Amino acid sequence: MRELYKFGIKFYFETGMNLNVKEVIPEFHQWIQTEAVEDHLLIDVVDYSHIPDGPGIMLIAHEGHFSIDHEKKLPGLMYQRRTEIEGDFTKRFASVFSTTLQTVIKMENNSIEKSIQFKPNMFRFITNDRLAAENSDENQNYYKESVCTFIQREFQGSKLEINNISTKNERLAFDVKAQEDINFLMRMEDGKNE
Amino acid sequence: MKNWKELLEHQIESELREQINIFETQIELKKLDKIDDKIFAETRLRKGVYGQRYDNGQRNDGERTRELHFPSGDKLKGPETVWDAPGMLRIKIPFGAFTPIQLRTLADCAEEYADGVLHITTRQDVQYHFVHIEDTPTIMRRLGAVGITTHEACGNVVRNVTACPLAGVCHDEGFDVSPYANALTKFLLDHPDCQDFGRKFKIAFSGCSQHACGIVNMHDLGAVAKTQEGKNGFEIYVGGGLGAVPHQAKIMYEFLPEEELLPLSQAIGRVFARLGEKKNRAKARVKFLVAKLGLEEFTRLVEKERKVLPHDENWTSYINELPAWGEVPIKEAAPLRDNSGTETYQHWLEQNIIDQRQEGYKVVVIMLPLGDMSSHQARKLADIAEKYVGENMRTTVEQNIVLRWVSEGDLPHLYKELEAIGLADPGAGSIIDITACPGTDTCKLGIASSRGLADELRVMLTPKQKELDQAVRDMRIKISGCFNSCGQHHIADMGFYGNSRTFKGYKVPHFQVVLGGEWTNNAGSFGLAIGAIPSKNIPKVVLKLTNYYVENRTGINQSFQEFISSQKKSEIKLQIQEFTEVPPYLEDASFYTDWGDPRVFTLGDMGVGECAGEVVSLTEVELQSAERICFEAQMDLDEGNLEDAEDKAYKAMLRGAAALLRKEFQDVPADPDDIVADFKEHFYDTKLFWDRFAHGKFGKYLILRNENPPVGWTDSSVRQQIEESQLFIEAAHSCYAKLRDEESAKVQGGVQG
Repeated sequence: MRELYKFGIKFYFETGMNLNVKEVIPEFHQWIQTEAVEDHLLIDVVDYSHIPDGPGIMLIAHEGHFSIDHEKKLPGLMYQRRTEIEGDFTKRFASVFSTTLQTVIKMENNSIEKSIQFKPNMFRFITNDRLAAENSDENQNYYKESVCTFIQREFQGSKLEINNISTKNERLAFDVKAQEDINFLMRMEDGKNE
Repeated sequence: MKNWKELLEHQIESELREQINIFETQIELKKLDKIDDKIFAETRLRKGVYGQRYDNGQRNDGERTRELHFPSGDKLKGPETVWDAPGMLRIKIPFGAFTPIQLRTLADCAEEYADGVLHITTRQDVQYHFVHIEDTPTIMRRLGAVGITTHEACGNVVRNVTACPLAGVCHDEGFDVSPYANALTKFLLDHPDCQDFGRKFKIAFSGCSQHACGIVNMHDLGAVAKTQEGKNGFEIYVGGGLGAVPHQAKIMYEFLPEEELLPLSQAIGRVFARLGEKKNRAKARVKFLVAKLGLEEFTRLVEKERKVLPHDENWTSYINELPAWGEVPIKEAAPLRDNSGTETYQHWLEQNIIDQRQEGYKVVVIMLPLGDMSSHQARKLADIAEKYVGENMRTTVEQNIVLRWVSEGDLPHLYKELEAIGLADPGAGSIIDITACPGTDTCKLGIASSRGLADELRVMLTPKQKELDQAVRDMRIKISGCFNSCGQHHIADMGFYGNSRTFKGYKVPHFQVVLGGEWTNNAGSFGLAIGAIPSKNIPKVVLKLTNYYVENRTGINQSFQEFISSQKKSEIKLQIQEFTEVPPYLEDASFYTDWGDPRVFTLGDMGVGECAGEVVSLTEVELQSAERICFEAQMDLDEGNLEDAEDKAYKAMLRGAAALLRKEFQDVPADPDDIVADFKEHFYDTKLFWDRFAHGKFGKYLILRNENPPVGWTDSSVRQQIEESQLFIEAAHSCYAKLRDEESAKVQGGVQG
């Protein structure tokens, strides 16, 4: 399980937000033009908005995919890592978390003049490698502990809840939610996470 | 920790396991540069591992063409195909049949190695996009462990064998063709006689000849179920195909006994391998061989080959097992007791449900927009299928999925469960159930956005569906991103294929409108091109033409296809003439972008020279004129003036060639021989006119016509000449655009320098 590097993090849109996901297409194209995501070779934008439960609009990068994901009708921005990252799981998680926060904030400050807001105190952790992270109770416990330890170290004082655990057929995944006065995005904006 | 190779070692059939191991080794050797690019490309294609758009390491981002600097640098996986660039993986689903277990594995692999989407193709395959080549052996192993192969999904081999998705449950079929499709798939897979083709070889089965079913008329080899004196056999078709120039298949045998199906296919394979074109890909399909030899001679050669074939037990061994073949319903047939439900449910019942031959059972069609389904939907669909139909699922050539053997009484519950996962949209087989190839989304050959247009038309037509005339509602729309017909635009009531036009220095995405193709009767006839329309005006064209049809048909029984056949093409063209106009860029820039893509259409290729392009050049005028002459040729063909039609098709090419010469030289000769000679010298031999993928094919149409004037005229030969003329003109437009780009680049270089 310690070999896992293919996993993703998703920040959910704020409740009640009204966004036609196709409006994000020009924003992603602009990210490509401006090479907006650090250490990522941004390649193309794909429109899957016609799939109700799908990845919505995707920004394809060599290192990982970004998507306005709609799984379980809970839209948000997801980053899924595809290529290896050096170091142990904590280091890998820190890297993926940082990239996700970077793009979530970028999406909030979009250039298409759309009000896009994310729930600042929760995210979903999704593994994407059934070999390295089979969806077993043992692995669920391992990753819950690893992720929570990281978050509590970085965001001291956070009290975390784990919800929405994936079913056996799905990839190992769960939501991590902190109390309302914790804001993962602010922390990133302060640059303290880097 | 074990890897997938070790874990699945005993779950994969030994031959397939060995093939995958070999492919993995070839990948390693290629990484060490120990295999030639071209050889590796054909190797991976045969494993279903395709290239994808931008895999040459370049992409225009709307402002400039940029290099994609992948970590592996210049390492290639084929000519001009960068190693790390995302690719497509095609997965064979023989005659579309798959099980819930297979669907779950397809979903898992789509998530872990692709973009989380399963795309159903027009050959009943599944495709993944954005796959890294080094992941492909693992995907193959995981799929292989549940009985799925990608072997020979692409390349110059026998492609996925398709069949009517209703085979076995249809009222009209002679008999169930599924076990025959299955047997032929297994027999020809990796068969030594099918490894040396110049091009791909496509096979289809149909249970009857009157419906669309297997669309055998557009296949290299087609088999329609037929019985004679109580014995099963097939009506055999050969030499059909779409592609740039469509060919109707010809009947080779009116009745071939079942035991001859496999040996005949093998014999055809041997003749094709021996005599089929190898050097010129553009002429290498079976259809060209049949056309060149004539059906009689082709048949004679095949029969001669058949006689000397060494006997093979596999030819008939499956026939003994036929009585045991058949699907087993998991639910007892029960009547539908309550028909009530929402309006949408009623529409779903009306449009997505097909009666089975077996009383009390229905086929449920799941309409997939653009042929796409998410991994989440796929996994849940597998659960639903297990509950209601067990293993009885198939993909369709209309990019949908059917659930077979649904007990009628289960329909309300099944609907609710499908609705919950977004798979219960009504409209299957209607005007909103649009077929589209990947086009510019992911295909290297795509010119315009077929999926973008399909989505736009679907969104526009869905709310109007109820208001539409029944005949309009039942129409088929099919869209290809280029002339290659992967979206099967030739056999739709309304077909479109992508092209581009240069307008005052800007490129504008267009679609050629192809009307009157016949979907039924196994793709009974092909449509004809009416004219190129800016992509952004196509929705208006659809509305205009459907209204025109409803208002002018002879009666409600006259189909759109019959109506188009009965009309003068000039009259139809007149109806859409107003939509050919392109507004100036500053007035409406949207015309200069494609659907779903905010980048100005090849903006990076435009330069400072654009301002000088405000005046329409003489070349543009002449190219328009060539299109007009080609259209007149179609009108003559309609009226049976074959000689005139052929002559005009030739003259249209001459005008196109002269237009290009005018771009480069002040004086252009008037004599056809001189025009062709100059064209050959300055555009063909220099490869200026060459298409990146089709190479010199289109230029050759003019040269060959000039060298070999026709001595007789038939409807099909003239039709082909017109198709070729149309393609020549498309290529002339592309060539002109290329010349302009080069000029712009020079000017830009000069300014910067």
